[in-house]
Amino acid sequence: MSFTRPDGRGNEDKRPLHIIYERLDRVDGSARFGFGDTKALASVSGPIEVRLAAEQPSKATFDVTVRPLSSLPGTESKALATSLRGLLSPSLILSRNPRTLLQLVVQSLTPSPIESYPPSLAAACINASSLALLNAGSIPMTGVVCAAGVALFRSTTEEDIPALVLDPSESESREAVGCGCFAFLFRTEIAGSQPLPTNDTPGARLVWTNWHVKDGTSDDGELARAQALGLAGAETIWRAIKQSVPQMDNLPPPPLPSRSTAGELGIITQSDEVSDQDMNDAKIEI
Amino acid sequence: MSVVLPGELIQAQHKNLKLGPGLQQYVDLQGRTSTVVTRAGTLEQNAKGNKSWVEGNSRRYVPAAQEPVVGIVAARQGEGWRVDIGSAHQASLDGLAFEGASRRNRPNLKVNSLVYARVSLAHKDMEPELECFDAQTRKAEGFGELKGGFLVRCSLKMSRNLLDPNYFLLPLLGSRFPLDAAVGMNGRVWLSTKEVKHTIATARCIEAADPDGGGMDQIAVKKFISTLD
Amino acid sequence: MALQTQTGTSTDLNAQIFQRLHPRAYLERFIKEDIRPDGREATEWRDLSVHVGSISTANGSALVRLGDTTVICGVKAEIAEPDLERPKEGFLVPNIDLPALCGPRFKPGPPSEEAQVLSDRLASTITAAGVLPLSALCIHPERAVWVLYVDATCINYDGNVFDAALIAMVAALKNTTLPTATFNEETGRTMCSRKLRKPLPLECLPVSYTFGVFDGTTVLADPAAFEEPLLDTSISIVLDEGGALLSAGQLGIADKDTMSMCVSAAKERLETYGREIYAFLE
Repeated sequence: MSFTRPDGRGNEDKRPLHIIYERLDRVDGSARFGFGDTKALASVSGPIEVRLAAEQPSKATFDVTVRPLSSLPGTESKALATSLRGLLSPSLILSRNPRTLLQLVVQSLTPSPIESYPPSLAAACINASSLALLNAGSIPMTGVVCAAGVALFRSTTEEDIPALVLDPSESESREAVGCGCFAFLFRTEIAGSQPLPTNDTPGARLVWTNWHVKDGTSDDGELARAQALGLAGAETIWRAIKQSVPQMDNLPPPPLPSRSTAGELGIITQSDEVSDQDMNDAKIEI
Repeated sequence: MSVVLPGELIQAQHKNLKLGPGLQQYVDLQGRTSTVVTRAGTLEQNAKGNKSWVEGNSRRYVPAAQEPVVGIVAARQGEGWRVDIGSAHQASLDGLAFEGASRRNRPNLKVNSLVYARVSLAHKDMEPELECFDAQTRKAEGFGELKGGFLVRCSLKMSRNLLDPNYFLLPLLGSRFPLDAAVGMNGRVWLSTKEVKHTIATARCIEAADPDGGGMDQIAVKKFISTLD
Repeated sequence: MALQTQTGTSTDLNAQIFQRLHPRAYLERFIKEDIRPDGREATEWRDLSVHVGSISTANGSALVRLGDTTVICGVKAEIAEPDLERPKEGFLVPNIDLPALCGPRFKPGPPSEEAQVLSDRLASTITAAGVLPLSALCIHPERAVWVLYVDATCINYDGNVFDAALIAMVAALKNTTLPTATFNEETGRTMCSRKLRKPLPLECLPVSYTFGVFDGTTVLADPAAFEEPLLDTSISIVLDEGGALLSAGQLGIADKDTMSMCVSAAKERLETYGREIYAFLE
């Protein structure tokens, strides 16, 4: 079915990905992830001290907070935080650091409706969280979780196959007849049935599905096709993450400060810091 | 070498392969072993090929036995002290864990003083323990209280670099002015020089050469130093 | 020779102690024998009963029992001004509360995280399924619309509150009648008739089927309170009366086959029992 998207993308094209390691000062790991304009920022601290009430004797306590761009976090932020905790836990070896706390804070950088997080924004939050956890490096991980949003459009005129699109924008999610987010854990399975690795990625297993359709059909294959499209998107994101790992360290050095009378001790001025930021932003376009 | 992400399988070439940080061995039901990566970074091997690890950077220290650390005394605890080494739990340092210490002759550490100690016990279910003497010789060998000076923080990879005798930074600075330094594997470095500006210069150089904050190489650091002073 | 058989109460006590101290091993023993602690098979559902109209002071109400899990839901209608950006739409506010009385692990106080997450899931499922078009709640565009507060309370928690609460909310909405309202332009007030009442024009009657995966392999339908914390994965499938898939939710590791298996199991359940759930006398 020839379905044209508002911005001219193909059905299986994502918007350009942005992966930036923020290097926030007071946390152990931080990263920003964006599908085009849909962006999220995540920061991770851990293993750190935990308050006695939340202490667990055999594993680390994993605490997730999600904040929307504007207004106070409501139940939809709590729900996304609970989902994040559930879908990221299989990727972490929490038993290595018992009686400690692993704290993840996700900040949405895109405006979203009060009632819910659109699927691409939820996917951006998940990917940003994975990047922040990789950046922190202090909690051992069994794999990497990557997510992608998918939307379903049905043609009202003909009896055509409905169109599934990858990485819907906010307006596309609103107009679509169904949309959802799929998150996959990429890791090599040790025992039991192994999902076959595809080319260069280790096997992927579904860890989160959040699929809603307004007027459903009895077509069982629809959900499976949406999942497959989500998996293709998640695989590309995994490759992008792997490519971005060298960026975590050793960026181009900051420009040398000029000698000034006030700066006898070589104090780097604020303006120099600002220009550093621009050099720090390395964008990957896939 | 090659960049790896957690969850990837690596081929264990050597028969007696020693696995370092970032690698984990699993045995499946059939008895086959596989080596899986648990940290993002670059996969490294030593020259002989019998030791493998994943080189990555992080800021949060997780205690491991026999590592030297710089700690800040947080409180008295019975016959010893509780010391903050930057990990999730505070470490305990016994009063007798010093060279030549006895019941009557014990060092007098005050709260907020600095100590250079060796992690003697680091188990995930217990709080870490410190000792202020070398494991084999039982002599101080530089461990003990650090008087005066200034504490600088850096990333864990930078502290590993600073402990490497072939790394350029400390010898380079030491050739210009007298410098006393104690490097802890917990991302803390204690510096002591005669003049304040030397301490500040050393601190700025460590910050600049830190892979977490720019990663200047030797030539750039030399240029940087010439702009200070 | 061997020990004399212990009295019935003593073996019960041993079994209870084993259940408290080693819940996972306890469940594993049962699963190995292809049965669950409450005597059900892996794919068996508990008995469901729905009663409506018990709260006379509410516009609509329903009481649902799924095994021992009991949820009561009431719908109250109020009149309010609509949102500026959506002048012809009313409001539907589903909410669920898990008070201290429904189980020993619930403490009194503000709604717990579990209750908030459940409220959000129910609200998004009802909205996404399009149960009630919000334009049907409009009394007068830009001036007066109905606000329906759909408040569910769990009275007894024995697992799978999501399924029970969704049925309770939809049944309560089906039982709801609104008085005919007219908006008076001059006075700016809405007058409601005492006698004439209309039911809501519901477009969809969804039912949810929740499964849990234990130990990565065994799929258990309709998990009970004892089984829920031991499950690695939870899968919820929402179908409408015709068997069309409205929503699929899953949290935790699952294979593609597990998902499609759950969808077929849900459809089977719908065929055998699901069609009569909302068919009750008004």
